[in-house]
Formats: sequence, C-alpha cells, structure tokens
Amino acid sequence: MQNKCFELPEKADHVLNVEGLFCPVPIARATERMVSVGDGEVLEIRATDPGVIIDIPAWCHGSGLEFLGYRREAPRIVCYVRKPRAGAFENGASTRSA
Amino acid sequence: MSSREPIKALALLSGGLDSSIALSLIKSQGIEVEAVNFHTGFCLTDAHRALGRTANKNGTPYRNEALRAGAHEQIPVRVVDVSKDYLPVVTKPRYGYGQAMNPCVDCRIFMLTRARKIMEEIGAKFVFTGEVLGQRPMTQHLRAMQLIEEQSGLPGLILRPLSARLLPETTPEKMGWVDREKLLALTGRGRRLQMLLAEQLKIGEYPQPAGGCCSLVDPNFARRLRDLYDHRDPESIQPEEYVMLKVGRHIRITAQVKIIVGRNESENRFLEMWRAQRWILTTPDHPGPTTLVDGEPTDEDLAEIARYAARYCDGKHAPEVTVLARRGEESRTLRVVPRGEYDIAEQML
Repeated sequence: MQNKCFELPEKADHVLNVEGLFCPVPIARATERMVSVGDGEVLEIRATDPGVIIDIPAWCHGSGLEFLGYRREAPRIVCYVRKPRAGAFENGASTRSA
Repeated sequence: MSSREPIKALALLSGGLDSSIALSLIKSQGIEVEAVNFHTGFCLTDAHRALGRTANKNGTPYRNEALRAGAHEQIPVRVVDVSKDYLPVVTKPRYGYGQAMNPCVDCRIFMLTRARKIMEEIGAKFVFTGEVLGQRPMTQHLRAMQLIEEQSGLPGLILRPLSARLLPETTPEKMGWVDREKLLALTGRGRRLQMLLAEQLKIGEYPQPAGGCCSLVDPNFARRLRDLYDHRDPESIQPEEYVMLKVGRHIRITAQVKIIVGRNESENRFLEMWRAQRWILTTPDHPGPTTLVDGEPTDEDLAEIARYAARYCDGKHAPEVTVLARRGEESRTLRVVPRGEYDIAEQML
C-alpha cells in the first residue's frame, strides 16, 4: 500500500465506487455525487482507472474543491476530496468567479 | 466594462488547442466562465486507459484534456456522461455521416442543445466554442454553423472567439459583453497561428493537434460499429462493448457470435477482465493471444472458435493444438486443428 498524502482522512462522509469505469466517467459520477455532499464533508472515490490520480486533482483545482490525496489498494485507487465549507459546488460546479 | 454586473458564459470544452485558446480569450475579457465536457462513449482516451496504455515512457496515464484546461485556467469543468442519450445521434443522424460513421452535424446540435440547458441553469448569457471557420468540412462552414445554431435553440448566442471577426456579429458582441476587436479572425485547417498564440497566452501543456479524439471518424472503428449495430439491438449494447471495438482483431463467426483476438499483452489483459460473463479461450501449451467470445456460441461454434485461437498462437503450424475455453466457473478443453492463414480474411472486421 502506498500512501500519497500526509493526512488522509480515516473515514469519509460519502463513498463513491467507480471501479471498472474509465475516463471521464469517474469524474462525471463524482460531479453528480458532489452535489449531495455537504460543506466541509469528504467524498471517498474508489476507482481502478489509473488516470484518476491526474484527473481528480485537476477537477478539484478547477472546481474549488480540496484534493486530500490518494491511497493505492491494488488494483484499487482510493481518492479523497473535501468540499469547502462555503459557496463551492452549487449545481455540480464551483460558484467561484473567474 | 468594469462597472457592469459580471457576465457569465459557458464554454464547450474539449481541452484541445483551439478550445483552450477560446477559453483564455474569453476569460481575459473579464467574463466569468464555466465549462462543460460531454462524454459520448466514443472518445479514444477511455480505450487508452482501459488498455493500460500510457501517454509517455515515464508511465504517465492519459489525462482528460478538458480537466487539464479547466485546472490551468482555474475554471470549473462539468463532465457530463451523455453516452446513453447519444445513441440515436449515432444510429439515426438526421444530417448524415461524414467519411466514416461520424454524425458531426447532429453531434454538434446534440451537444449545443445540452449546453443551452446548462447555460440557462447556471445563468450564463451565451455559449462559446473553439471552432474555427473552414477547419472541419461538416460543421465548420458558415451554413452549417447557422443550421447548428438554429437547431440547438441558440441563435446569436454561440460565440466562436477564434473566427469571430469573420462571422456575423453575435449577441454577446452586439451587447458589448465581449469586445469583438479582441477576438480573432482565424480560418482553415492550419494550426501554426494557434500554436504561436498558445505560447503568447501561456496555454500550458495542450495536446498536440491531431484531428480530435473521436473514434467515430476512424474507418476501422466505424466498420466494426456498423457490424455491431447490424447484429445487435443498439439499446442492448453495454459501455464496455464500445471500448472492445477499439481492441484486438474482430472476426465474425455467425450472425450471433463474434470473437475478439488480443494482439498484445495489454489487449489480452483487457479481454480477460470480461471472462465472468463471456467465453475466453487460451492455448496453455503455446504462447498466444486471449480470444474473447461475444455472443452465445453453440458447442459447434466453440469448437470452430478454438481453431481461430489456435491459428493465432505460436503452435499455428502444429497438427493439433489444445485450447482451454473458460466462462466464469465453467471450463472445457478442446483439441483442434488450427485454421489456415488465408481463410480468415473475409470474416475479419
């Protein structure tokens, strides 16, 4: 097991399983799911597509979400994303202005 | 333009060179931008990922370019899976196909209609794209652009920043939401000017322009897709089957049964993933490919398929080859004479 973050949460508030799905479906599912994640809560995303370690940080960076890191549990990759406490991600996208 | 209420726009973003430039141009005019990227199920990246291919020798996975571009410009990208609703666009396009099975006009109408709904939902005033006049024959000429605008319910509301000064003025320009003079007048298929612009605008690591990433423009993929639609109810086709069309050699055995023969280790690994639901054939005594059976073969079919599996293994010149057929917990061992080299061509898809 390889830990790619210093402070991964021990328990997530929500879990999304996208194992067996490939780019960009995991992000599409995560986008849908994030709408129901509360402010400050953490979403755990379980995937097998190795590209999620690139896509999820990029998605978070553009959307104002906090990428907490990922852990490998071969063949699975488990990523953690936190929704910021105020304002972000209404209607599936950040409300941060340009 | 500084005292006005912020204007919001929706980008149709692939993350390629042109749409990345369009994004930068509009954002630099003080417009608040969100982007949408539609997953139709026919993008090449999913096949690269499924097969474990990497984008370079360092083992970096293929990235989603729309997300890359969004992260670079710090704008949110909404990835929307439209693969189920997209099916009629491919099977029954009103405006026909291009050279392969690419329904480009219908595809643009479909995507822009979806984009219009998102635009309304998020309170955006217009949609913009990276289209360039004269770059693609089906959709990027004036008549097609006008047709697409009308059919998608966005007349005057689709801005194409890279060619805007060559096109009729749009509502965002007329209203002063964007400054037409700061937009471009690019035309044609060349990308030299875009590459220079990308440097000036610090676009970052955009993908090399290579004609897009849609499998439907590939004649080989199109031939296999036609065959699939000819033999199956399109509604019954699972997402992984579209990925399978990009993998291995495809050989039709009967109207109900087709086989896929892996061409290398990564294709073999990919095909092995589906053995719970489908027959998989291998040759335990000889190095060779994995053969996946699509459909429900009879015992006779399975014996015949074993001859194909034997034909592609290292024992193809042996008088007989042992072939192991497995599906879930079920397993059969067959001794067969390999097929000859020249009697496969007609069945090859």
